Amino acid sequence: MYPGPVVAVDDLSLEVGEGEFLILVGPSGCGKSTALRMVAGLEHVSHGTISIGDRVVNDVPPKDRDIAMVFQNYALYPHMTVEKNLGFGLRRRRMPRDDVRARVDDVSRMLGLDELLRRRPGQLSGGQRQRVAMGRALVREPEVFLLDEPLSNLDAKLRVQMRSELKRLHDRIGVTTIYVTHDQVEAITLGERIAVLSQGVLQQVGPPQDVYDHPANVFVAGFIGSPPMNLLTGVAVDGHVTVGEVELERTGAPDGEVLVGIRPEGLRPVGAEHRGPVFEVCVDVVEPLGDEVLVHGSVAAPDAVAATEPEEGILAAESESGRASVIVRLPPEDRPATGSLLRVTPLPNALRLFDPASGRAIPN
Amino acid sequence: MSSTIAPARARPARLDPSLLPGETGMVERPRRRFLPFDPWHLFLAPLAVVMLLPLVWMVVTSLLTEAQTHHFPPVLWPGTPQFDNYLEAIRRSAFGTWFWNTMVVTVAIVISNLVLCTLAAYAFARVRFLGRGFVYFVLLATLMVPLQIVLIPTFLIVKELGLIDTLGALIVPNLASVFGIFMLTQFFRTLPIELEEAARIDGASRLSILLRIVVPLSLPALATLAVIQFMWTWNDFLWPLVTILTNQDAFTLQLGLATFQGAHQTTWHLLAAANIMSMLPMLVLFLLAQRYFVRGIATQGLKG
Amino acid sequence: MDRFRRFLVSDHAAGWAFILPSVILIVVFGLIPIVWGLVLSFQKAGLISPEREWVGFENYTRIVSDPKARQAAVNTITYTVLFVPTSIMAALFVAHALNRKIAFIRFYRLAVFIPVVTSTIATGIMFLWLFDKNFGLANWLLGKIGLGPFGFFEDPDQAMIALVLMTIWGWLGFDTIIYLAALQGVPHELIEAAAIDGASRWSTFWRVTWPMLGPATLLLVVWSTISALQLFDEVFFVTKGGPLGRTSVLVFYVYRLAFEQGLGALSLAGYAAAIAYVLFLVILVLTLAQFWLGRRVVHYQS
Repeated sequence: MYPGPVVAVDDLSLEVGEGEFLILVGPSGCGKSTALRMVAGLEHVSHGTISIGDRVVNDVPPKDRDIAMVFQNYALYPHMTVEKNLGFGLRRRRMPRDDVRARVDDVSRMLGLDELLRRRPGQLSGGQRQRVAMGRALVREPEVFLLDEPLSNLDAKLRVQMRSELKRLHDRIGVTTIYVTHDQVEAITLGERIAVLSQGVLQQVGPPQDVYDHPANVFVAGFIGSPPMNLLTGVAVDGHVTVGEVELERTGAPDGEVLVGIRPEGLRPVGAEHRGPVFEVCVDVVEPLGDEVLVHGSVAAPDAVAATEPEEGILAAESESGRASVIVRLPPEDRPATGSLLRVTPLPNALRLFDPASGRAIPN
Repeated sequence: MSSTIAPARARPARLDPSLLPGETGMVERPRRRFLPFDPWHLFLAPLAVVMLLPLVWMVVTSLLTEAQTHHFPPVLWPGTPQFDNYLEAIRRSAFGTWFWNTMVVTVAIVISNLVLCTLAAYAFARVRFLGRGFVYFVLLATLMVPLQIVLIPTFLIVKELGLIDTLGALIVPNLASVFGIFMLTQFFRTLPIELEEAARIDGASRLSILLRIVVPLSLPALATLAVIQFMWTWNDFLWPLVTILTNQDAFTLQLGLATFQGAHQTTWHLLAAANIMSMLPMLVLFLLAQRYFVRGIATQGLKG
Repeated sequence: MDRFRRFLVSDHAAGWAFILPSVILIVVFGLIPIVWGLVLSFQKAGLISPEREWVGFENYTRIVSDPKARQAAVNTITYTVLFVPTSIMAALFVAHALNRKIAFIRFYRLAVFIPVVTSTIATGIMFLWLFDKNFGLANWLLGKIGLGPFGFFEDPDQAMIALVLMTIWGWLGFDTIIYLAALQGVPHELIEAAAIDGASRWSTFWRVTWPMLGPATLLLVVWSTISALQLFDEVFFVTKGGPLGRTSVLVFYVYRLAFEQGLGALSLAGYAAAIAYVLFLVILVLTLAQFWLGRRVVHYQS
């Protein structure tokens, strides 16, 4: 499938491979839902083309595009039973009744809905409704599945459960799928490839681990990964980067100001005798999470906060105090005291450099 | 393989000018347009004409001379508009009295309803008191009973009270309406109760909570009640007919118009003028407060 | 003493204080008349004269043998059967037409809604003039397309139809507002889902939108039926029950008995009350039946 639609705001060009599970992820208002709806035919495309297979479908109404969609609020027909809901699309297309029955039975068995066939949506729980919405899409056996934040109305536990079910389903059925979410955890765990959007502009696309390890710009760096990547302002001279008082081993950076990014797990606590770059983190808050500990603190360096809200621009308020806030991930046994000094060093290859003006990553 | 695209700063939004605001963006099968405008106009325009025709025709008639009204085919446009008809209609009948009476009755009822129904509705919605459910149920039950049942007995009661042939007969029975209580109770229940609870903790009395917190938040609902009640009272015919028997000084507009028609059988131009004048307050009110009329009617439908 | 003071400031006292004026008024002018009406229906009573004679069910049996009552009943049913489905179907179509964003839509909506605020008398005057046999605009316009002059309100066979047309004109806006609100309440996502599922526009309307209008339709059917059965103003003012009693409906007959004939020597208030109660029972039964039917067919959104 080769979609190349123009999102309401700006350019977007994407190619989704056959059978691929692509996730569009980004904050609210970034245009991901609009992009999905354009593929569905629910929004007009002002510039560009959308193609499914080798068919250009810009002027093709939704029902002829061979797609199926799962809406965020499920959009189940409240006056029809689950069975009728599932079969609605097939019956509209004049499929023989027996075939409709067969498909509906198949899908309801697959999703565990066979007990519920006679019920109405109003009598179902949130999780059950979500499965019916999925079933309605599956039953059509389309060329493309479109899912618009299908899990966001479920409670946390159900969401985790449905995530793995979705993955299992995709492995089993293998239909090209485009999935929209604002939850970057969902994106990373579910997608074969993820496309990060912000304000209608595609920021980066690639396999989740790639995007996580090598964010293309400051936005992606701050958006993907929780807690977000630490960003500090540094200066590069002759290929050496200095952040505050600490000199980092890095080459390849052009002279001038540079943004240095280190993920919380990229900082390792060290003793007093360690050689090499050491940050002294003044510990502010310690959050024990069971399997790990998050330490919030500050270092003596100018801060640079990556903006994940569109209105803020690349660099939000710079810290006045000359100290930058950082978050460090520690193994669960380590519990530094508040106010103490935690000495950490960046792991090899943990540093990411970004150009402060454009936000783009500076490659090695 | 990840690819890097796009500068960090986004370009400002470009709106698609081909979409009218609110039009669904759904892609439709391309249809050939035979007409330069939306085909629905072909239905809606004649409909609008039909709906407005009686009114417009009445206005035209009110500006004709008497001779012109006796003409067939009908005269469609007065040569010189007879604005005098309006004054003449007032002169020849007790129009002034009717108008005044109707205004007095209507305003009295609207104000009284706003006060009494608000008090009662607040109590039913928020105050826990002994017998609340029972009383509310009984009140609602009276809504089921059609007017012709209560017509005769209410007449008798009003007669016992000595109010027949006075404006009191029109005002007193309608000082509080069950419809108003019902509507406001439903509405008050939708307000966030936390506001009132906070006020109670602060020590406010029920009355002051009602006046200072609930009422200011309920202005649209109160406006809707006022507007609907105004319309019903202004347009009411049956009750004035039944209770104002001989005292012509107590006639309301609707009663007066009905007798005007009887007394002045052929003076259509005057009757038209009187009719237009009687409708004016309602028409003006509607144009100004259209939203409240529509909301008042629509919420009745949505409550199911 | 202390308990009394506590009671005074309690919610119970406050609640009753708030509702008391309204409750007194409604009891006096609402509840008591309902009960008294029932009592009257078992009496032979005069409106002005104080005569009250208990006659048991005689008033009710009299209804059956009274030809005028029978005619009133037939007329009332005829009117209802003509008015209710027509006005509702028309309103549905008009609401659908108004539920779009095209040029002048505000004007169209205004034109449809405005007749709602005209009084029955004002409407009656407008239509009497419009439908005037000799000088009315209607006959002139119809003549232009070749349709013969009609008697409208003066023709015994046409008067009922003319009444129906006039009252539909007056009520269309009301019904349309309700349907329009209901239409706009249909979640847009359902329409989109249907579009993706492959339903045509027609299919989507009848299989998705129309069922969602169930509650509104039920309300309109019940409401319209109740008001149709209680038709009075227009009959009294425009046709006076004629010509030849062809438009005399039940409430009109009740009024005649109680307030025109009953004011004279004849004490018919009781009889009139009996008729009124029978009508009430019919309305009650019909309403309950419609609601019961409605519950089986209508599915409220979760």
